[in-house]
Amino acid sequence: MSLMSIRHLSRSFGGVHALRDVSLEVPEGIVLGLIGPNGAGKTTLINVISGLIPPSAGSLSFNGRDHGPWPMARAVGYGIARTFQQTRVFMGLTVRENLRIAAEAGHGLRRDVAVDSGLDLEPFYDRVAGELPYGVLRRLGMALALAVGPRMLLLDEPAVGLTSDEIAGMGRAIRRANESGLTIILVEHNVRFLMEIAQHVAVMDRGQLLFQGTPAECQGNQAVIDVYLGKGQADAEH
Amino acid sequence: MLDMLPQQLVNGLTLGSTYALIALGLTLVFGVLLIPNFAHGELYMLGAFSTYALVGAGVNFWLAVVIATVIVIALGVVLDRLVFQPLDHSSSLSLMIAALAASIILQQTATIIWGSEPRTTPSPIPGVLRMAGFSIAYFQIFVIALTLAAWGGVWLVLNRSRLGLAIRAVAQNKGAAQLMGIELRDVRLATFAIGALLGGLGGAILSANFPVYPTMGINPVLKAFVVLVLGGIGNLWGAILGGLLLGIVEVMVAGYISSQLQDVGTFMILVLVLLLRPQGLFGRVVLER
Amino acid sequence: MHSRTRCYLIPTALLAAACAATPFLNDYVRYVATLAAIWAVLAVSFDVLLGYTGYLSLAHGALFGVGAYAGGLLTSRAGWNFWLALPVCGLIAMVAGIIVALLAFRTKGLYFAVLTLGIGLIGHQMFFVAEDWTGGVVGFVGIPSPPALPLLTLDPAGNNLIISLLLLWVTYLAAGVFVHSPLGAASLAIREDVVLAQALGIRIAAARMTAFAFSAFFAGTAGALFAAISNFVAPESFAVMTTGFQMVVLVVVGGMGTLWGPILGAILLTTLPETLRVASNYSLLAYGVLLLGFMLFAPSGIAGLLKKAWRARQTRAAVAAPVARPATEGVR
Repeated sequence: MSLMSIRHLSRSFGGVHALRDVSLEVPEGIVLGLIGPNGAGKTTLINVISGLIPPSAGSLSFNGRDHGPWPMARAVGYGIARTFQQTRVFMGLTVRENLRIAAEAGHGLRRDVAVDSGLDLEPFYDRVAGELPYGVLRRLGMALALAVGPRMLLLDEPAVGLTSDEIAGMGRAIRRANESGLTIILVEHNVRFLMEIAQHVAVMDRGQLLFQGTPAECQGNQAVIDVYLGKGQADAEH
Repeated sequence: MLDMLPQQLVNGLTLGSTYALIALGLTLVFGVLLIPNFAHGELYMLGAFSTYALVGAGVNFWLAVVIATVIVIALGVVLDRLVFQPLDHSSSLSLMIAALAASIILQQTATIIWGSEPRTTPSPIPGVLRMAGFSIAYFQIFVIALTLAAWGGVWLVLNRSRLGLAIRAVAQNKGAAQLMGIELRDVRLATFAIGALLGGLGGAILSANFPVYPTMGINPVLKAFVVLVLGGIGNLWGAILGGLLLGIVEVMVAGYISSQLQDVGTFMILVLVLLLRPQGLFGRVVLER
Repeated sequence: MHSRTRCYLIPTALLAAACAATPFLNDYVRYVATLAAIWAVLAVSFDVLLGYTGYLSLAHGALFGVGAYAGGLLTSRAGWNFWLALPVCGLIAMVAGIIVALLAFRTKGLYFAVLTLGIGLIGHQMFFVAEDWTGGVVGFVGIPSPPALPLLTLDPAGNNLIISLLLLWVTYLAAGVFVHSPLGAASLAIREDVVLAQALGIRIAAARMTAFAFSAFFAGTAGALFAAISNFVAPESFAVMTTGFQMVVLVVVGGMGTLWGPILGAILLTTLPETLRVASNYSLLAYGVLLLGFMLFAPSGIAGLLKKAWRARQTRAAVAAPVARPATEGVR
C-alpha cells in the first residue's frame, strides 16, 4: 500500500531544473534510500515533499488523499516530519526544552521519544544545545522529528559528519523507528550505510529518477554504475 | 486647483530628495551589512544640526556642509564600532534594540544641547526662478540635482570601482567574498561611511530648506523604510525613485486632502502594498541574519 | 509539577505581603508603587511578545493609550461600572492590536519594528486629531477614580495601589499560563528558529498573533487603570519614543523572556528617577544609555545577572561541602 504517491513532480529555480518529472510510489513501512551525485535533486525532492518549498508542477498524495502543494507546518499535521542537512535544533535551549517544544507545540504527543528511540539523549537533558558536540546535535535533530509523532520521516543526510560509532548508532535508531511502524525516506551520500539499512533504493541524477529497486539490484544496474563512474564502489569501501 | 500642480510637484521633489538620500544610505547599510540601523535618521539630524551650529558660528555654508558631513561620517563609524560590531554575532533583534537605544541617545543629546525648538539655516542660494506655472527656488533645484548626483555617485562606486565590486560581493555572499580575499572589515567600514555620508550630507544641505529639530530624523527614516519595502533592499533605482515619488505623493495629500493626514497617507500606501504584495513592489527576497 | 505550583504560590505570597504592607506606607511611596505596578503590568505583558516570542513592537504605547481613552469614555461618558470597563478596555485594545498585528506580521524583523513604529506614531497622532473623543491636546479630564474595594476601608491612594497590585498579579499568572501552554512553547520556538518551528508543525500565525493579542489586552487594561487613577489622560503619555520605548527598556533591563525580570525592571526604573531626583530631560537619555549598556554587557538583564549569581553561589556551596549534601538533592 502506497503511503505516498509522487506524480510528475518538477521544480525549477530560474533556469535550473532541480526536479524533472519525478514519479515515485512510497510503500508504507519501508526504508527508502535516495542516492545520487551532487546536484541530483535529492534534497530538493525532500524539500518539496516536506513542504519547505512548493513544486513547480506535479502533485503529491499522502495517505490516500490528494493534498497538492502544502506548507511545512501542515505537512507535519498530515504526518510528515523531517530533519535538515545542516542540523536545526533550538541552540539556545536545553535538550529537555527542545524536546518539550517538539512534543507540545506541534502535533506531537510523544514525550518519551528520546528514551524510546534509543538515541541516548538522557545524559544531556539539562545541557544547552549550543554547547553539545555535533554528533549529539544530530541525534537531537532526529529526536525532534520523531517527537512530532509522524507516519513518515524524511532524513536529509543523517550520517554526515559522524564517527563510525555514531553512524552505527544512527543506523540502529533508524531501524528501531522503522520497526515501530515509521516509513522512512533517507538521503545519503554514504552509500554503504544506506545500502545496509534501506530496503528499497531510488537513484536520482540531474533532477530525474534514474532507477528504483532493491539495494542488490541497484548495485548491479549498469546505468547506476555509469552515473557514479565507480564512485559507488569507492564509497562502499569506506 | 490644478494650477498648483507644478508647484506641488517641485515641492514634492524637494521633500522626496530627503527621503531618497536617506533611503539610499539605508539600503546600503541594511542591504549589504544586514544591520538594522534605526539610528540612521539621527545621522541625518546631526548633519543638519552640525551645519546649523557651524553656520551660526560664522562658517561659510558650503564649508559647514563639508565639515558637518565629515563629522557625521566619523560618528557613523563610531556608532558601528561601539554598537553594532560588538553585537555582530547576536540576533538581529539584539541589533535592533541596540540601534533603537543609540537612536534615543542621539535624539536626547541633541535635545539637551539645542532644545527641541525648530531652527533653520538661511539658504545659501537665495532667489527664486519664476516659471510659467510655478516658482522654484534655486536652492531647490540644487537639492534635486544633488540627490540625482548622489545616486549617480553611488552607482558609479558600486558598479565601476573595486570597492564597489567588493561591496556587492559581500552583499551576495559574505562567506564566499571572504574566501576570495575580500577584507570584510574594510567593506564594512566603507559601506557604513558611505551610508553615513549620504545621511549626513542630506541633513546638512536640507537644513537650509526644512526646520531642524532633534526628532527630525524619525519621520524620514520611517518613510525611507517604506521606500525600502516598496522598492526592495539593495535596489538603488528603487530607493531614489521611490523616495522622490513618496515626496510628491505626500505633498499632494497634504495639499489636496489634509495636511494632518500627510503621514497617514504614506502609511496607507504601505498598508495597501503589504496587503496585496507582501514582498514589496519589486519583490526582492528579504534577507535575515 | 513541583515548580509549577511554586510558580503560582510565590507571586500570590508576594501579593499578600505587598497588600499587607500598604496601610503602613505613606502616600508618596504608595503613589510611586502604584505607578511601578502599572508599568510592571505593561512590562510583563510586553515581555510575552518581545522576550518570549521575539518580536519588537513599537505600537504598544498607542495600545496603552487606546485602553486609557476607552476607559475614560466608558466610565465618564457612558457611565459604566469600573470593574466592567476594565476588561472591556482590554478587549478594545486587543482588537486594535489584532488589526495592527494582521498588518505588521506580513513583515518581519526590522520591517516589523519599523511598521509598528509608524503605526504607533499614527496612533499617537490620532489621539490629537480625534478631539471629540479624546479631548485632543488638552486631554481627557474628569475620569472617575476606581471604586473602593469591598471589605477594605482604605483611602484612595491605598485603594489604587491594591487594585494595581491585583492587576499585576492577574497579569503575571496569565502570562505564566500562556508560557506553559502549547502556544507558549510555540512562541518560544518562533523566537529561536522559525523554520524549525514550522518543521515541527507549529502554526506560526496563530502563536504569534496570540502573543500579540495577549500583550495588547493587558496594555489596554493597564491603560484603563492608569486613566482612572490619574483622573486625566493626554496624548503625551502615549508617545512612541517615550512610552513605547520605555516598555522596551523595562523588559530588556529586567530580563527578556523571564516574565519576572521585567517586574524588577519596572520597579527599578520607576523608583530610580524619584530617588535620584534627576531632571526629566535626562531621564530618557538615561534610559537609552541603560538600554544600550545592558544590550552590550548584560543582554539577559537583571534577571540574568541574578540567575548567574545564584548559580555561582550554588556551585560554590556544592564544592565547599560535597559530603554534607545528600545524594538525592540535585543541583538545578
